[in-house]
Amino acid sequence: MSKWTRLICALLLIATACLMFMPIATFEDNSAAALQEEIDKQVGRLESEQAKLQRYIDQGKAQKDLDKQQTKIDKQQAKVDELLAEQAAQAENAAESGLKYALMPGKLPAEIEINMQVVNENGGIYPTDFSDLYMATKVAAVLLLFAAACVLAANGKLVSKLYTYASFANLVAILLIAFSVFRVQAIPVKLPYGNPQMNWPLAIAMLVLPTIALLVNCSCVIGSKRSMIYVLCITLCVLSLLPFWIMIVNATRNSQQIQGGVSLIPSTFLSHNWQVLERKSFSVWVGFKNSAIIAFGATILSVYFSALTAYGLTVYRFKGAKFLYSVVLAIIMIPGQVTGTGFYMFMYRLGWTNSYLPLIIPSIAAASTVFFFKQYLEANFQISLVEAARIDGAGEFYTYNTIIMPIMVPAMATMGIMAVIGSWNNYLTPLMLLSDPTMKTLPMMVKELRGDIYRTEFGSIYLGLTLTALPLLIVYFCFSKYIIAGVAVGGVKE
Amino acid sequence: MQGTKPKKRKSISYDKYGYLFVAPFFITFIIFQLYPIFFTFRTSLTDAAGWSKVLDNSIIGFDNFVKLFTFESEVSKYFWQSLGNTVVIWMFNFIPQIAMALILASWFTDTRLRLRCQGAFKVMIFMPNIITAATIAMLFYSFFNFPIAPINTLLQQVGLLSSPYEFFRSTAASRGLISFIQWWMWYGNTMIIMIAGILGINPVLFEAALVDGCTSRQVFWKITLPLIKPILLYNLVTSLVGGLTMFDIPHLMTQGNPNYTTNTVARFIYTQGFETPNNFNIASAASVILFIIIVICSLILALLMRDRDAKPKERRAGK
Repeated sequence: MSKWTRLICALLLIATACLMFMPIATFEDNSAAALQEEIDKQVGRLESEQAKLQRYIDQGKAQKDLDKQQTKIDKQQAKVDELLAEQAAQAENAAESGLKYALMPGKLPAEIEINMQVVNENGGIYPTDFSDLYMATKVAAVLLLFAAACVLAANGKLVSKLYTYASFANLVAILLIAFSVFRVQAIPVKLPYGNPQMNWPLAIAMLVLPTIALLVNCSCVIGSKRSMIYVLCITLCVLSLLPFWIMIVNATRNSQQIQGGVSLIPSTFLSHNWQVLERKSFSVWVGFKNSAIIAFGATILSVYFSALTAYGLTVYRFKGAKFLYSVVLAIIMIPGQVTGTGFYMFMYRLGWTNSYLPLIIPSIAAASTVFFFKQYLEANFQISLVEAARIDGAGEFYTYNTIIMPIMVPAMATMGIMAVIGSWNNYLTPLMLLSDPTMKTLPMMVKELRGDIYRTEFGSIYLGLTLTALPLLIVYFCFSKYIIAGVAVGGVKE
Repeated sequence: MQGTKPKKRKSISYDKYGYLFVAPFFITFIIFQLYPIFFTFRTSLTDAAGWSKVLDNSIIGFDNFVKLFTFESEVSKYFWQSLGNTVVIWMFNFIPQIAMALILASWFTDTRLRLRCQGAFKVMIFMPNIITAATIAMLFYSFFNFPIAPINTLLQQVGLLSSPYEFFRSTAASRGLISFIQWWMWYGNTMIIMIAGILGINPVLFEAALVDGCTSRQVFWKITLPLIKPILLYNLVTSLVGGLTMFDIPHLMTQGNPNYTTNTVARFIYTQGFETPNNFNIASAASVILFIIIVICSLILALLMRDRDAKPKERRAGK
């Protein structure tokens, strides 16, 4: 990192620390508005009294009544005058309306009170103690200065560890500032003060400046870059795993625990949730069986016939082979959903609705699998094998079944897993075709969990979801190598 | 190559077996894919509205298309709105997805960075892709529900929200959530395809660049990106097709709400055809329009990419 880049980096960080002293939020003083409201109300009352008097005069009521009304009006007039005087006095005093809050000295103005009504209405889980906010801002400021000091102290050495420390401090500071800003923004304030009005340009500046410093640091120093990449990758991994982990954990907790908040430690209500699911006739095993029939049926057909097609297109030089192969490539691009309506109506004509046949048989024509197998055969297969078999008198299909298939086992395993997953996850086609509840597939059963009968049984919803996801998770962690290889090869075309 | 040669005397030609081998594939394709496409086209020209007319309908011309293109009618309003929604949701998912995938792929293949644990990262980042979309939609629905659900509770406990937020009442939050889920499910997949593509580039090029003193950034912009253009195209097309036919997540999580702002085209087709009053004709017409849009987009993308690739070849041929 050159001298100037280091200087800019440090300046950005210090500037951010300085910005923290500027007011980030304003709590509007609503007492003036409240007073105005009161005045409007009283003026309205005065007018109605005056109208009443006019009516009395029109009706020709007795003088006594009119006098009575007149005194009423005078009283009301006095009230209004009093309020107006108060307002005028306030307008003179209130040079600055509203209370300001800056992140850095870090104390909410003494006048601000938390609106406990809002907090209590929502279960009282909102933390009304702001020591975490003050702590976060102070730590952020210290970290920013530390990062700036590190960058300056690194003194031009490219492999200095100090850059890495600076980048970590910088990153944590950004996160803490973001937390503080959103924490302030959410404070529920009791009247007469309004909720915080955020100074968003300042908040964005406080987040963008250190981010620029971090990016400069990372793009100039490979050590910082590598450590930040690790942080990002680990975050992404957590992002991938956490939802499923929370799902599995929640499947073992009861409704009260789930309402109480997120936990990463399993509880002991698994069997209770399971009983609830059974009572509400969420027949997982039926769905599992149905999905398995379709998935395995479709996979066997798709793998066998795709390999057959790929072999036919690779080995035999018949008229139109090239054309047929380009047709196969074109088919890959046709999305199934688009032809759904026609497919359904055709199946309805055949009387194949509420049958697994239309979900299994069409998988014979799996274009992307053919493509994959053809690539594989071109790399791993010699025609001499077939010729030797022919000389020995083997029939063509016999050759294919006994000699070629074993060669293709690795490719078949990869595509087989992909086909099982693809078919298992298919939602729209079974949804269109199957209406008999006993034929439902597992993804279709997920929708049942949205129903009202599970409104209070959160644990059993998560258990139901876990049961639909668990087979896939297990398959994935056993065969992830094949699956990722399959995806990788599927994409490399041309 | 060897298969074509033996045309000498008496040798048996096995090549006719090829037809037998590929027959099951193409017969199935014609019956279960090609015919339904034609059937969809035909239905889009009929009056097949309602169950009574599924089997017994007659061709009435382009009325259904006219209905979808006259912008006053209710149906066309919903159709075009759903198309707009789909494009918006797709864009907010695709751009971050391709950016993230490219960045990660370039890091994972960077010889200077030498990242460790790459295998584990890939396995975990890819994982959401294989879980049933229906399950994920329902899972996120449970997470972001109102008023008591993990996300709302967590945000309140940390102090970032003072009262629970109704994510599924807000258009921006609902669309953003769908885009996020799509991104989360697919960037791992795109990344793995990109990595495979980058690893397929001749390593000599990278070595030469390294010797010449290129920076990582130069290598990425000048070597990697131009050479994986076909793969980018493939990703763009598959993502476009997938995005335009997005169904599971909007259907199960938001059900098109709030106010039809997360209703996608595939969901429009499904609700038209498979919910009362079962307007199969409108659903088919919408399918045909969607089909044409997809084909046109794919062709445009292919041509855009092909043009740039073809030029150097022509020059070479001219020599």
